[in-house]
Amino acid sequence: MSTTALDESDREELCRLRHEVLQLQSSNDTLISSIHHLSGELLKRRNPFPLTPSSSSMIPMKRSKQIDPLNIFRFSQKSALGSQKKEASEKEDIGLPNEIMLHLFKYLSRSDLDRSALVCRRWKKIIDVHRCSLARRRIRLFKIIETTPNVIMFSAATSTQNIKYHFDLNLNGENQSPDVIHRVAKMLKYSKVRRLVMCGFRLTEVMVHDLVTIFKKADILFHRLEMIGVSLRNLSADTFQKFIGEHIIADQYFLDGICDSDSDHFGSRLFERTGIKKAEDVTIYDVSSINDEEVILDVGDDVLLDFIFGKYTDAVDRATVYLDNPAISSAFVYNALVRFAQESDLKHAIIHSEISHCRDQIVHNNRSTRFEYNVEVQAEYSSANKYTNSVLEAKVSKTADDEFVHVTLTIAAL
Amino acid sequence: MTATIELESVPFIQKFKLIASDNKTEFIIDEKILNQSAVLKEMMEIQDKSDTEITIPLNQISAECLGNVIKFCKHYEDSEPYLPPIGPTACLSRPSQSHWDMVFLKSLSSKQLFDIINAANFLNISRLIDAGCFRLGYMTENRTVEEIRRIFQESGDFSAVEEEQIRNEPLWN
Repeated sequence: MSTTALDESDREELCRLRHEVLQLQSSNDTLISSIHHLSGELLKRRNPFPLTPSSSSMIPMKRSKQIDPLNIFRFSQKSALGSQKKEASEKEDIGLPNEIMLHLFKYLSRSDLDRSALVCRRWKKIIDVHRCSLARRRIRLFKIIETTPNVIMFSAATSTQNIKYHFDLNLNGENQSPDVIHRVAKMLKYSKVRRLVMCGFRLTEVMVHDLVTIFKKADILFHRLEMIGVSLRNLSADTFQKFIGEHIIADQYFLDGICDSDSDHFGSRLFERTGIKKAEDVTIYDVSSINDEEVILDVGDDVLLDFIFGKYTDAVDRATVYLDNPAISSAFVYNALVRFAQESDLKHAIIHSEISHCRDQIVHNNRSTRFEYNVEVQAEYSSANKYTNSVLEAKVSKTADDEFVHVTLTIAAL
Repeated sequence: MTATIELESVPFIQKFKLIASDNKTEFIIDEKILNQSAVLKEMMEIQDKSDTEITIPLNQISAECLGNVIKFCKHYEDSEPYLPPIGPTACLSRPSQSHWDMVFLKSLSSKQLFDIINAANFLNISRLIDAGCFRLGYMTENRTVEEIRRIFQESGDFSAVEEEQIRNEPLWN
């Protein structure tokens, strides 16, 4: 079909279409030009890494000679200065914008950050405001020990350096001077302590108060708390539990040879403290009373099983718990096996639990418990979880004196 | 002859013309380079791509700097999209001094380095921002305060008293 063969209505239709195409093209052109315009605007205003409003208002902009309120960023300021002026100001006007400085600081070590904070006010402010997201100093070991009677030593070690402070209780009385608190806090400032070791001294209410002040001031994180041979004679159960379970949030707790204690210190509420129930590793061993007798930890079957199966925590990666002498009944292992079979959520449970010095265990026959073997020194039971492919293996080993048994509970995936 | 209007269906390679601040120097790049800039990528997504060449004026970036930026992006034109390091181990993932990025940035003067980082920040090229910050990190680490000030051309604006006070502060070296 040729154009000449078109009839009148077809011609009209073609004309209309051509007109339409022209119109579309012209509107397309205006669209493109307006996009060009808009994208230019977008580029001008673009700020890829905006600081949060609060922080940007706190951090002074690099020498705030703003020409145009829109051009608040260094880059646009520089171009707005014009080329002749640019030459003159180049020397002192090389500074990078705050968001870039922050980005750089994120990749620096704590020592480099310390020096960078001395460069100028702007840098110091950025580092101070954002210290939570910046590197921490790695302290390998922080020790609090009594070196000679009534002299407490605070000592912190990194991989290359060791700083010590001695503090004489005889000279200063119970109250540690603000100066000591300030000095120790400064020593620990913005650090992550791998091991906090408290060893061989009497922990008092005042001392706990001071330590809490130091930890708060210094804003530190702990990986592991080791408390060895510490006396709790002058410390209430509540203060003690708050101290280790709330103020020192660690991944691992290791308490050995705590003396002058009573069962209240290790009551059931300790196992509900934030730090303890989240920890990957908890060991409490050899707690003794003022009369040097063994202290029975005041935790019953229900509390301990809630703790082991992670009823009140959302933490994962809980690996071990090792308790000495808890007040559990002779049906603890049976209760554990039965409860394990029914437990719907094992994500938060502790994989391996060891409990020493418990009463001899009686394990009834039940649908969910399986008896493996029983010889004179050891009996073994297991139960399978209803919902997952895992099994709880319980071992009850007898000690020589026959009075106590040692219980091991292990969750094994099949 | 038919009455239908035939649309051109020959495939074409989309080109972009970047014009530096001197209004003269032009760089013709393709999508692989352009898309490394989150800003330009986003901008071009709303752009009609019927023209074979789209002109983008960049008044804020000097010709020399833009050349460096494109040189960097060209090196990565066939790489996977960049994923910035995140989390607490971010500082451990920095490239070695002999990494191409570090060698490239080391070859620049500090003025050029600051310019390229500013340009990367402006165009939001995260790979280049990170590389620039890593390079700055190498320039900062284990330096004294005076050296850092000289490198970054920052003048200390603390008062003498403040300076003294802060200077006595660090316990750790």
